[in-house]
Amino acid sequence: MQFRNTINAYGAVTQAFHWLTVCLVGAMFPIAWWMDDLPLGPEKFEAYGLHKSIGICILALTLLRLAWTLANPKPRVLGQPKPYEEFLAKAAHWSFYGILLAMPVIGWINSSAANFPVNVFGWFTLPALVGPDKELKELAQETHELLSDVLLVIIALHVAGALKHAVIWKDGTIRRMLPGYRPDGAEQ
Amino acid sequence: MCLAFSGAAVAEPAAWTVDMKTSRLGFTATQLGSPFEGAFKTFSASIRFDEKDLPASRVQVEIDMGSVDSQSPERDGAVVGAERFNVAEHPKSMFETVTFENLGGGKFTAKSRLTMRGVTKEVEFPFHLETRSDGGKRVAHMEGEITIDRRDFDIGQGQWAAATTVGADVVIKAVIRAHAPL
Repeated sequence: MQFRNTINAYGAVTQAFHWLTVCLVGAMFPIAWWMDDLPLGPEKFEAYGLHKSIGICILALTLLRLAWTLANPKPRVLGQPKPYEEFLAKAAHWSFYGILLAMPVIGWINSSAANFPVNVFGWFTLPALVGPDKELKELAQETHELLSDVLLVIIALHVAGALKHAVIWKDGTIRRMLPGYRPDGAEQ
Repeated sequence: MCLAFSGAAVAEPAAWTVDMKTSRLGFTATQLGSPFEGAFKTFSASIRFDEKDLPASRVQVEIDMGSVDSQSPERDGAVVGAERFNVAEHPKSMFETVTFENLGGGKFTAKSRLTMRGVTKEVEFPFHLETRSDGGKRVAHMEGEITIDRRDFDIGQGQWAAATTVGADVVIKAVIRAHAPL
């Protein structure tokens, strides 16, 4: 198994980072919608607890992923994207890092400002980032929600781009993110 | 002559006035195992205390449960409901001392009765007290805390009964600054 990326292929570590992020971020949206609709009760606390726990995992994962990405070669672009398409793809990739780092931190600020502790799966409690502050709490909450909408748009853009590679250019972009991909002449 | 007479005749310990601005009746509760702090904004205390006359000393504190402030209007609005504080039926909690014991070095313990949500329990309230003279009056700084099990007072019924979401133990911490005439 190839762990590191090469100029032609993603290594196993990058692939694991990608799909683990897909699973965690994919779980966060339904959990968020569910917890928002719950009446204030123990179940709502549990739901928020789960959302915060996964959020902190995404923060840690994204930090590690960013370090890994910066320390690895980037496989070259396949297909025939126009310059603006290549720019959009790149912007989406870097926005993912920015948002997946910013959202957990802003959520953490939101909790701290609301005087609600952040506990990760019952393992440990994170320190409060700020003291209780109702205005900051509102700002953090609105920003967190806004970023979740932006994230959905970027996910749509990212998936659309991947589909264009698969359907229009019929290249190996999607298969390259799956285990067992072998760069060969046919891919180039 | 009058002064000398009244001085000798005063049997009751000094009446202390609480400085509400610098006193705090706080608590630490837990949520999913993590602590958060809050306070009761409104309370009144009747304090007759003389460390040289503990048998005659008495402290009564009345706490307005609806004044709970955990910096979250949503959480505060929920905690006063019927299943928890039930302020509609039990708006006040009461803390009353029964006997004091001087442990030395400014340390005391007060055998007391605590009534919350209509349930009265005996509790031991240990505290530390410093008094000094300042500008023609005596000033006191008292700090003490006790840990209670909210379930002893039936706080947390139905869905709130389990101690996993909201912990059973609650630490109540009082910091009281008060003054009395010399």
